[in-house]
Amino acid sequence: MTRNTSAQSRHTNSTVTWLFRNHIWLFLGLAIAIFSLASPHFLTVNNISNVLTQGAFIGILAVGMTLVMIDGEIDLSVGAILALSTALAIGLQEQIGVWPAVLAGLVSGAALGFLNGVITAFSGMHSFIVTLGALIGIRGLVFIYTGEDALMVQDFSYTEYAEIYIGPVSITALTFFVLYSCA
Amino acid sequence: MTSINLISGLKKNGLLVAFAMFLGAVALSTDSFLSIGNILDILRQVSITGMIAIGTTFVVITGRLDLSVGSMLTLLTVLLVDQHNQVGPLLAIFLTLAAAVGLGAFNGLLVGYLKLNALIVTLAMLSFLQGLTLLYSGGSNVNIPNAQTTWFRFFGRSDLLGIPVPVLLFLGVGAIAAFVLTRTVFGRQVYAVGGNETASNFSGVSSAQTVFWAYILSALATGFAAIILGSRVMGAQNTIGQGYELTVLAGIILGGTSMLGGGGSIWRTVLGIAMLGFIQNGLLLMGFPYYVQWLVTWVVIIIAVWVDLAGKRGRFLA
Repeated sequence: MTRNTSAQSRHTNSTVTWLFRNHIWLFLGLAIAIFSLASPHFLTVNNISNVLTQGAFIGILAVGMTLVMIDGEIDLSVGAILALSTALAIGLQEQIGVWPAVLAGLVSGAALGFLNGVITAFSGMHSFIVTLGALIGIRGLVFIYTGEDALMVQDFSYTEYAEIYIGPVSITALTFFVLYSCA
Repeated sequence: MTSINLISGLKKNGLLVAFAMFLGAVALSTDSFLSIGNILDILRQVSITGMIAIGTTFVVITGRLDLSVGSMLTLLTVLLVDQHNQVGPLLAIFLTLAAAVGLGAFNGLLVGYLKLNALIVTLAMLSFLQGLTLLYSGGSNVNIPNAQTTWFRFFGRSDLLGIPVPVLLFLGVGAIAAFVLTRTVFGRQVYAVGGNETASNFSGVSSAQTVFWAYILSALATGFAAIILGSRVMGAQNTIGQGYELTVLAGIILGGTSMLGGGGSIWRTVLGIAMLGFIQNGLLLMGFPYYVQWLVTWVVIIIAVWVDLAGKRGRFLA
């Protein structure tokens, strides 16, 4: 009986320690609790599904950035690369078709990441400087490529993929979860 | 012996050589580039980023970062222009500088005394100040209706002895800052904290206090920049300072001030900022599309910092 209690208390103890170390979950829980009480629309399947979809874009970027930051480095250029990849994935669709354009977007992102990585590793410069330069330059590339116009998707079979839902979970949010588990 | 000195001098100041080569190349391909009028124009254009960069250099030399200067510039300019219309120019300027010192003190408190990560604190400050600006202005632009008559136009729009006032302010504040950084106790402490924080603490230099004041200087310089910007534009949008922090950092880095702290100087920052201005202007004069300058800035930053680093360690690769 005593052993049982002590084991139990050790168990609660480790839970508390875990929560203390990962206090972000406490903040998340608190935020959810407060907003649920403040608005009747917050804790609904629809809203949660929306929040997941919206959060997934940043989340997908953050999964990659986490690997960089664990290395003690930083990548400031992700926003600019997101813009360029998106511009290429949409802008090239008319010339080379939907899926090759998407592939081109992915390849451009990977290539720029490769360039940043190579420069950081071989030059010994701080990754902050390397990716700050890249941020400025890639943003310039985006404007040069798009000619400062907004690009529109012409082939709407492409936009339908974002509308795929499994239950309440969108494919965007699902991509985030899958990437998270892979990483 | 002299030739060896010359070569090692060139290695240490590779940036100056590269800059001179660039100036020469553009001057040869256009005829108005190196005219006094054009140079003054360029200096006037960079005076706002330059002013901020002078203050932020103090923060960078202590080994910290200040990403909040861009949205701080927005908030201060909106505040200044709005208050100009309500309480008059003099009080508005006073309020703006007071607000700048307050914001800088807040940054300095969090980073210096509470030892929080500078990147995270000032990144959070960036969003916070953006929100504060929108709350203050209610999302609408403000402008000064009596732009032609107010004496406030002195800071951004007038000349003194044929030199634009913003340029005089930029170079004047630069000279004062250079004096503070190299000739005062506080200046030596800034280098000491950036060079080796533990050692400086053991030597009786309070790193917390030094960092605190460095952030105040960074914010105060942003306040000066807001005065020039507000006076030049005679109005303020809610995004007027967006992205300035990146240009400021790019200029500081280009000048060769180390991101790790402990090294750098005001003249390097002024040179780096001026270089960005000359590149932008030169490319436009040569007829390149506007955004090509960003691409060139990228390449120049990488090459300049890499060459600088390679010169210091004597090897090209890390």
